Amino acid sequence: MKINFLNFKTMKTTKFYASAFLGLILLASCSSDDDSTPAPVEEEEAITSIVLTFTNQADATDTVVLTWDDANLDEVIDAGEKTVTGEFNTGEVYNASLDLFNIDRDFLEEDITSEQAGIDAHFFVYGATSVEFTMERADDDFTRSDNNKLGVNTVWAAGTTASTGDISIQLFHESPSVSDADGFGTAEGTDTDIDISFGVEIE
Amino acid sequence: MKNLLIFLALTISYIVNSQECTYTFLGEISDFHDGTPINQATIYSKSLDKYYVSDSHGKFKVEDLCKGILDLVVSHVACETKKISIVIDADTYKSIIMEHHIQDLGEVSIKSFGINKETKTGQESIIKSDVINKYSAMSLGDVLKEVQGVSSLNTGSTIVKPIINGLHSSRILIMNNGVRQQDQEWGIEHAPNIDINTASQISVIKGSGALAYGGDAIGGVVVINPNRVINKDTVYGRTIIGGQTNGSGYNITSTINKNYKSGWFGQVQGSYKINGDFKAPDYYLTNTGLNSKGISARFGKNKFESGFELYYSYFDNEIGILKSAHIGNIKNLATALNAPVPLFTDDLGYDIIEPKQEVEHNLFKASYYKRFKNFGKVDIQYDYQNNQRFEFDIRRGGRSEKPAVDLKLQTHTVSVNAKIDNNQEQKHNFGLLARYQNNFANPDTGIRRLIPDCDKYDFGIYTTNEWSIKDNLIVDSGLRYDFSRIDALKFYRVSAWENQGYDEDFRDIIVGSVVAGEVINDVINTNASQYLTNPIFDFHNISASIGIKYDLNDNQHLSLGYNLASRAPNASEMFSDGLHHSAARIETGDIRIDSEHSHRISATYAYNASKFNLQVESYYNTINDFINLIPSSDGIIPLIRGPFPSWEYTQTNASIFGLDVTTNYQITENLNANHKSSFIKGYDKKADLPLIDIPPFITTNSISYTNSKWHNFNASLQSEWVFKQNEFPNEYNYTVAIANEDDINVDLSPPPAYHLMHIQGELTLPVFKQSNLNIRLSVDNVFNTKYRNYLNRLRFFADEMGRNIKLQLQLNY
Repeated sequence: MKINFLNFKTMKTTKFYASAFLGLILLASCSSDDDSTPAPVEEEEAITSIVLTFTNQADATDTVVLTWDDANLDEVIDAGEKTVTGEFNTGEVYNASLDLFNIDRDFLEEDITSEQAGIDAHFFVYGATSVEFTMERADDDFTRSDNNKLGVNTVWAAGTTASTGDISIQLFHESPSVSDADGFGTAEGTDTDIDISFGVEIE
Repeated sequence: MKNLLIFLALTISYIVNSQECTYTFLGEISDFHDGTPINQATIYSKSLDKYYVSDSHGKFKVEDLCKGILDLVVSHVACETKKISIVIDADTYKSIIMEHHIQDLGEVSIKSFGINKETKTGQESIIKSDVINKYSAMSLGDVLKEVQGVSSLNTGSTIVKPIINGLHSSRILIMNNGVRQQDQEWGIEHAPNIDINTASQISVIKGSGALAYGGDAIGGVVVINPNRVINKDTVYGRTIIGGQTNGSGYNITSTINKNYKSGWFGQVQGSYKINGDFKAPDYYLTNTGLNSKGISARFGKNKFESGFELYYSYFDNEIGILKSAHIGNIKNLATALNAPVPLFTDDLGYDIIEPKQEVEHNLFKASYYKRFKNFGKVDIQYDYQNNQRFEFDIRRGGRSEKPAVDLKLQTHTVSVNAKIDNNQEQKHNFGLLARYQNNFANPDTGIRRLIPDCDKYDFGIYTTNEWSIKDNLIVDSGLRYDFSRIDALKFYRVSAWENQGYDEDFRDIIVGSVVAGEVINDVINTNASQYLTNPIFDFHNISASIGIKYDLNDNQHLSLGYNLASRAPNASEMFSDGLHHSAARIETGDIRIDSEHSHRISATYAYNASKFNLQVESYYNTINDFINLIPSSDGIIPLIRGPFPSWEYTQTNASIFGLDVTTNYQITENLNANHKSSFIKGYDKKADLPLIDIPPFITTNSISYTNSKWHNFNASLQSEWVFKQNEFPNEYNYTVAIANEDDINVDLSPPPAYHLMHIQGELTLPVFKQSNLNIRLSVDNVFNTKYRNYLNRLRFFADEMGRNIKLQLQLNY
């Protein structure tokens, strides 16, 4: 078998190859000299801390505080990051107010309640399982353009029997329809920004 | 020597009888490539009105010539016709060099009926311009489905990624006018940024046989070529205008070419396409609009011995993503799955809101070639691509205007290829390639980078060879080595870093710590929220191929092939760490991932007769260290947004095998029947599970009537039957436990089978001089069938498009 593919007939061809190859080597050996440090990005819209504070309407010292604080900023609800201080007392009525933070930034105020469009785009839905509560949205709560209240300021009435269970908080974004009719709220929607629950006790 | 003596003798005798018209011209014709004499060439002299024929030594003689200029036209059956002028003032000898195998010129070849195949023995299919034109309003991924065994992974109707024999994304290599497309193809919702209207011929090569293009095409290679340059003084062009009822879309594209006999050529092309929200049979698919613009220009000189080309193309796509597909957590996915109708079904018209993609792709190429006598052709090319991808999400506080993903990928490539074709029986091709790529992830998004800032260096060297052992036996082979280096600067959240076990194995790549939003260089700080790392990885890969094609007789041939392909992991497989919103899952890459290696064996049988054609292509692809995204052992992670399943990139061994069949039967002169079907299976052999996203069995059958007497009338009826994928890894379904409530079951298993009917009709009318108008009317999904496609990532949220009536006018001039 005749193999002649390395048989470059002319010097010109050889030179051409040599220079082309050299060019490639030079290009390939260019190293990145722009080792400038890139800027870190912290999630601007991540909610890193939630505080739901219940205060007994009749006794300001009777409080229950549900807190989640994302200490390692990984958006995961890790075991040690949730704290619940205090217990509810049977038959008492509590005012609840919610705070949300992105690190030190007041997320609730800046990203939700500062503009009517922000209020209209959001809705909080609460839940109580295995614990007896009735609730309504407070008069000083923010009101959406569809007349449903946002759910930042709420009023909770504990049941008359002692129980333990969960209180859940959900934040819906851009739901096509919401209703605050039962106080806890219902939302049709598939975009949640918060979905968390805390173990609580009524005693 | 004998001839020379005769020549001398003749010359002397003419000198003796010296008169006015006594000169003799002796010509000797030889082949450009190997210098062999060309026998039986025809030489015509117009002034003498005489024909001459060259002898077995390639020689011919013109006698009794007067002083002056002799014009000759030399032609040969397999050569480009050549005109020469010789000044005759004495007896003259001239050596004439002809280009003997025109099919290698990139010109229309006689042997292969105008089709230029990229491989000799591979499983290759060609899509010609008449078929491509039908898809003028659609995308590359749609037209590729014309090839049996090619399907697509869709995100809605407009983001269409080709799947070749079950593999997609980085496992498919796309060559766009000689440039390897670099457009962040790792992303599952990143479709190729190519305007289909720039293509004149598309080759789909299954498997990695085309090693000159790359060694990592485990799935296959798509080669898109613009129209060929004709060396003729001419101006021609084409304009297509189309409209469709579904989505109220319209599109226009126009191409104008100017060519000169001297070899100079120029081409300008532009396209514009827009559509509003598509409609499923029962509701609108809110926010599925598209707005697409493309321009391209080519210019150069195309001569036999040398030539060059400059090419630039710009393509810009703004694509809306189904609004109902924007979901929060896995519970929301369960809600969407169980909803009879998607959440949002209003018609936004042409408005495109978030979530949406905006992608711009710029491609520039400069190439030059030269042919060397008795050697072959050398090509040298530089190309530059700039791919800018923005993804916009539904955000708050006015941030929706701000992209959530902002990635710029720039690629520079220099390549040299030498083709040695001075021997018709053995052809050799070899080349080198060097590539530098930079990915820049803009931090201004306010969202953690999807892909880190990254530099990538590639170097490749290859040879491919072709032997025509006998008239009916061709063997081809190839060998390639690739080096890749990835040099990234990536931030890891400390919790993820530790969770991945990197603190043990990769402590030395930490180059800084992020404390209170600032980077402290060269420190591992215990209070850090993130580490800045500098992973540098090198990959050395070998790929090879060998194939034979044996013609059993004039009607039948058999091809066998073996391909070894190796692919280094892409940025997504190594560096993903975070939420993939539209998939409602957390995806985690792994920097320990190494190259995957595919061994693909294939066998093809083809029968071609005037009335009946059959092609059966079979393959078995074993992929060792197959990089696979699967649910991780971490299960479902409770994020503040709600529970999300965690998926991770791992390596397993996979096998994918299947059979693609095409037949065509000419029933009568006017009636033609066509059948295509593809069967494929894919398994994760370590986990003993079916692979996800493997196309189900599909069969398309059509019958068409053609009558050339009625203005080339053609009408066809097509049935597309897609079976249910019954092999799904059911282990990938989720059960989400909710405290004090019932578990939520999330069933991701494949949707049922469906059957669609499509009809179309067309006519070609002559208009003006040398122009014709093609009118095409078609109806897709005639019965407005409601269905969901397993390979559409939005199948969890909405039905596919319903009936679509399309009208297209094509003017060729």
